[in-house]
Amino acid sequence: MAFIVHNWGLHVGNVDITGISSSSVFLIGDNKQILLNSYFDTPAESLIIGPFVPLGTNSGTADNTVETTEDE
Amino acid sequence: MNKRLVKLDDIKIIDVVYGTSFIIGDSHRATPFARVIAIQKEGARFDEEAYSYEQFPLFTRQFKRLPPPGAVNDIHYHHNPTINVGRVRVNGASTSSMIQIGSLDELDADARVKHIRILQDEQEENTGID
Repeated sequence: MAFIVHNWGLHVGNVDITGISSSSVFLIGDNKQILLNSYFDTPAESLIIGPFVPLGTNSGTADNTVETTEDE
Repeated sequence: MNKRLVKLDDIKIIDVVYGTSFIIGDSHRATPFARVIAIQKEGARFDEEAYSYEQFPLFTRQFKRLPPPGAVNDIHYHHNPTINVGRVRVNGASTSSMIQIGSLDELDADARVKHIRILQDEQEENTGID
């Protein structure tokens, strides 16, 4: 089998990512092989607070409010 | 496969935590892994020694592997030698992840995360935590 790829120009403007989590990848470049594995055991009732509190961005706007909800 | 150059004007990353890498430049192979036992316990006392990875089968079970590479003959023609990106914003990367500006031949990332919550009123009925 012949697998031929023509990469013409690649131009990207802006990239905005909130989170890259648990065996994930953000790559700008060429790659041969990617193998990503993840096991997780997270009960539905778990309270999860990630480390990604957006400190110092959008200061002075309502977006700064971080809400965490805890079940009863 | 010959690699293209990356031209990136601007990047801002807030948080890189728990076995995660941020790499500028080319590399051949990366094998990050993370094992996490995340315990939320109600009450004042917390005994860190009481927990081990061996207690939970999630940390020993096997991952599925890919067949060895090389089965497909691939040819890549890069008509433009650069990848051009303007601005990148990343809030956070966590738990055996990768952010790379540049080429990477092989990536093999493993993450195992076990969440446990120990509540006081549940402990009176049942002492098991698994």
